[in-house]
Parts: sequence; C-alpha cells; structure tokens
Amino acid sequence: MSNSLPSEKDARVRALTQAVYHEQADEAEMAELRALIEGSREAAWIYAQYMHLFAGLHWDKMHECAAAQSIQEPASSGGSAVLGFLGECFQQGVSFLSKSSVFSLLVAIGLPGLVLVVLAFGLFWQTPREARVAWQTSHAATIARTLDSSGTLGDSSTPLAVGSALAAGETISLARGVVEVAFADGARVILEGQTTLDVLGRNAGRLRMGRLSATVPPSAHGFAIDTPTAKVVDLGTNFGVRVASDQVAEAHVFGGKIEVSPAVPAGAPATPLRQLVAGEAARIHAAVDQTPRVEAISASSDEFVLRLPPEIPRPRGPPIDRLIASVVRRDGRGNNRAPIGPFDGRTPPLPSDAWGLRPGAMFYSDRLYVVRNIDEPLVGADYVRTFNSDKYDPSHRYDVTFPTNRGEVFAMVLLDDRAAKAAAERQAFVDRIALAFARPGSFFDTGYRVLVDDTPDGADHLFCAFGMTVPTTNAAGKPITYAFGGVPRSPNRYSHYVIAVLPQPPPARK
Amino acid sequence: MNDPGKTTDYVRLWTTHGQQVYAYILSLVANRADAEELFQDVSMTLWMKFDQFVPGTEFRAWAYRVAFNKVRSFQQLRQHRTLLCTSEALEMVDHVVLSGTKQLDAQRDALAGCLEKLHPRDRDLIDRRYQQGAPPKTVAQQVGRSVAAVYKALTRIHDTLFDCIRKATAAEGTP
Repeated sequence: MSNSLPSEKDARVRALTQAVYHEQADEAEMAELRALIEGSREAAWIYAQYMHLFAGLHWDKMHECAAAQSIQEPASSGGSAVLGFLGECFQQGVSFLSKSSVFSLLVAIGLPGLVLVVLAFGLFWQTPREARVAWQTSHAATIARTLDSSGTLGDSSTPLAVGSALAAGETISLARGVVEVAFADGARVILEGQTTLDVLGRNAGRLRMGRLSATVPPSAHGFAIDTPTAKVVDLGTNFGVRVASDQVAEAHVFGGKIEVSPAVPAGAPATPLRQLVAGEAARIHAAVDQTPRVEAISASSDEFVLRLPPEIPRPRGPPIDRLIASVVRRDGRGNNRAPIGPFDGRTPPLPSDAWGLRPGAMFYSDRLYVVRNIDEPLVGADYVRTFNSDKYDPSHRYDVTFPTNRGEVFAMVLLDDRAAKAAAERQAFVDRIALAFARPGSFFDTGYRVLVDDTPDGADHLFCAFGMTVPTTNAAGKPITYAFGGVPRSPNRYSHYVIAVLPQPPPARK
Repeated sequence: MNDPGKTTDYVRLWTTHGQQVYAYILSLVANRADAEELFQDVSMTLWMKFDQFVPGTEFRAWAYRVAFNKVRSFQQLRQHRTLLCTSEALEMVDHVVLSGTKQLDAQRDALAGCLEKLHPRDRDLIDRRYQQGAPPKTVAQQVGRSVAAVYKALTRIHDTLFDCIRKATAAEGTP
C-alpha cells in the first residue's frame, strides 16, 4: 500500500492520530479521523502504522512493570500469595477474574485449573529477570539500585548487584558508593559507603557502622534499625541513622516520628523510650555505670542521602574509546560525601561513565549530581569526575594525560556558571585553572552547555564548556602531563569545574 | 490444560507474537488503557482455548481473530464513544493491518535503530515518557517545560521516528 495521500491530507492524518492517542482530540476531530479512515486505505495505513509505533514504544515498559512491582509490593502486602508473587501488573491482567461472568467459568475449571492458568500467565509475563525478582520476594530484602558501589553480600564475598536478594541474617558490607535496599515489607533504605548493615528480617536491620536513610510507607510501620547503642523504631517517617567508629549512634528525623530505645547492659533497668519528631535528633552513647547517655541534637538532613538522582537507561551502543589516559589528584580537600564516601586530598576520582558525558551520567566523585541535558556536540566526551569539595581549596591540582596514539585532543573545562555571570570573569576563572600550560585566552567558550541535576540538593546548574586543542606528546614522543589547577577563592564558593575531552573540537556554535 | 509441553508451546508462541497482537488491538481501540485491558482478556482467552489451536497453523491470525471479536464486543459496550465505532472504520483498519503484517513487523524491528538516531534530548524525553512510563504532566515537571511543550515535542519526535522506520523499511515493499 503506497502512501499516496496528498501531503496535506497525510499531515492531517498524522496530526489527528497523534491527538487521538494522546487523548487530546475532541469529538469533531475523532469524527474527522474516522471519516478519513473509512474513506481511504492510505489514511488507514498511516493510522495503523502510527499505532504500531506507539505500541512498540511502550511495549518494554508493559513487560517491565511486573518485575518492578514485585519488588515494591510483596505478596504479604495484600492479595493471594500467588498473585502477589506475580506482581501488580499481572494482577491487573487477571483482574477480570473478579467479574461474575467469568467466576462461574473458573468454578467450572476448579482451583487446580486456576492455579495452572495463573502459573502459565506468570511464565509468559515473566522474562528470566522478572522470574528472578519474583523469587526474591520470598527473601527479606533486595538490592534495588547501586551507584558507584563496591562491596559484598553475606560472608560469601558475593559482589553487590541490583536484584540480589538477601535472606534474614545476611550482611551488606558497602565499601564505597550508594546502595538502595528494598525491604520486603516496603521500607526503602539508602546506604552510603562505608557501611555495614545486617538484614534481620522483612522489616528490620542492624546498622553496625556507617549511615543510612530510611523511607517507610504505612505498610512497613514499625520498621526497626538496631545499632550498638540504641534501637530506632519507625512510627511513620523518614529518618537517618549513623553509627560512628566509636559505636556512638545518632538518629535524625526528617518527617513523622520515631521511637528510640537506648541499649542497656543485661540486668540494668530499662531506660524510657524517647520519641523524636521531624527536625529532632539524638546522639546515643554507650551505657556507663549501666546508664546510657542520650544527647539531644538538631536533625541534619545534609548529612544523609535522602533521594537518589533519576535513573536514565544506558545507551544501547558500545562504550566510548577513552580519551583520558591517566589522572592524578593532588592537594585536594578531604571529606566524606556520597557516592565515594570518605576521601582525602589524594584519593583518585571515581571512574567516569562508560558512555562518556550523556544524560544520566554521574558528574562528580563526591556528589550525586547527574547530567540532565547536554548539547549534542559534547555527548560522549570523556571526562574526569573531579571532587566538588576541592572548590574550597585553590591549591588543588589534577594532572591529566591523554592517549599518545592521538596527536591532539580537544581538552575542556566545564565551568559551573555560578562562578561568574560575566563572560570576562568566567574567562579569568578558566585561565586560572589552565595557568600551568595555557596562555590566558587559549581556552575559549565553545558556547555549548551541560545542565547538571543535583536533585538531592534541589536545583539544576549550567556548566559552560571552554576548550582548546592540545598535543598529547612532546617532541620526544613522551606524553604531556596537563595540570589543571584550583580556581580562585570565590565569594559564593560555587566555582568548581569538571575536565572533559573530545577527539576534536566541536563545530562552531551557530 | 495440564500438558506441560502445551504450556511451553503456548508461552513460546505468545512471547513471539504478543507485541504485534497488542499493537493490533491498540490500532482497533486507539486507547492505551483499553488496549491493555483487552490484551489481557485476549491472552487469557487464547490460553483457555489453546487446546483448540492446531499446531502448524497461523497462531497470530488466530490471535487476531479472537482479538477482533473482543474489540467488537467492547465497541458495542462503549457504543459511539470510541474512534473506530463504525464497522467500516474497524474493518478498514483490520484489513490494512492484516495485509501489511510483513511491513509492520519490519517497522517494529527498525524502531530500535531509529531510537538510536534521535537527538539525546529527544531520546531522553521518549525514555521518560515510555521507558519510565511517566505521564506528560510528570515529564513536563521533570524537564522544566510546560505540558503543552512536552506534547508538542513528543508529537515531533513521533513524526521523526515514523519517517525513520518507514525509510528503513522501504525495501519491504508495500502491502
């Protein structure tokens, strides 16, 4: 069937079809499209192709939801065990079982028949991953998400991986990065390295060291976190718990309230429970002379990761060819921030995204900021995940080399535009960063930008791409080390940057 | 149906043809929620009647017939509130889909490649809308644009994808 509709009519069919699909068409437009379809096979063909395109776009999502829901809504939260096992999407699929017209049919088939039907539905709805996740609902908790993480599960040194199930009694040892754990009864916990958490059951854990934040839905009311010096029980809330190396525990409440019961030695009288509400926190020291000491402090949400950045699917193509051969960080500032966790002035940066700069790529080593949007010519650039904390220390340095098999590369400084609003001031910042190897003005503003989402901190920020072409080797054929230095002290202290590289300069911005 | 071999056969056939059966239903009802409900209804019916299916015959054609009858019953219940509420319109779409099966399969296969070619910003919008399943209002909030702007952008991207998959499958000929 050829597309022989006049272009005007072709465009009209397309527009009406999209309006209908988006549920934006009124009665008159529906009637117009209906008439076009009835009167023209070509129009019907365009319409049908569009509908197949829409079906293809959301087909993957239709299949995925069964798995996702089976994590979020375990069998115990309602419904039969079998239907819960198969997940909410499947439950929607068999929701018509409640209709009286089919009820009699099912009675005729009998329960064994129903079970067979349900199991068969489960088979075709579930990919291997979905089946695996459904199986995991019989466990106490599941690793729901990881960011830059390294660590192990249990005593078997099993690496942390999304979808891994934990039985009661198993331990998560997180050396670095951030991990979200979905407890079977619905509580979701974000762990930051370095942290050790024992999973005690479907609704309880023990924090041996490190820190976590918990979001507890009503279904998981009573979710409990044990620590060496106290037990924290949720009463409908968001809270954070931290256990320091000296075993002192802190509980911070960000929403709702919690109950804290300090631990006491065996035989000692129980201490009264303490309730904390949003904005309150307590530091609980180990008991001395059979009496625990509880100190009231203010809740500090800045010290916990309460939300993770949006998850964006990886590109389908292969990873990029690396354009950064080595990075050495010197004289930086130490801190303890996710995703890298504790670090000092020489801790090397975390690996950059395998697909380079792209929407969803993690931006810094010590912040959970991700690239939200990026101008096309910069997509796929290799980059160094610098440490945002280094903005406090103008003496820091990143020594970078590039692959010697490339004669030249286009080196870039992506500068937070809050460093300075005036173009000349920005140029001065970048000149200072590249002072060790480039004359002032050599790095020029390409005009391309990267929008970075710092969801956990609540805002987006624009980064300006300055760049220059640089040789990778000296006259002797040895790699050249480029020292990117610290930025001048800035009144607003927002003046940090990320180093990035393209194989060649991007086209001039129109 | 207690035969495990039959169960396996059914699962294999359904996972092979399910997407296109769903697309066929969506073409007939033009509404995603209705299509998903009917799709589940059709899949249950096919499973219950699978003993009647003759191996070696065209499973998808059988599935389309079951789906068409379900849709027609559904349309009657809805009376005149659906797009293809007349027999002429419904049968015209049914006809073009059945006669264009080969091209539609090729277009389905070409979609992934066309998604790869999208501008990253467009790809991001599509992923948010379809992979993450966010409604346009949520997408608008996520990307800091108005709902109308998101609809406009999605419409443009759909047109781009449509042109791309048609171009990619031009060699398949016409139905």
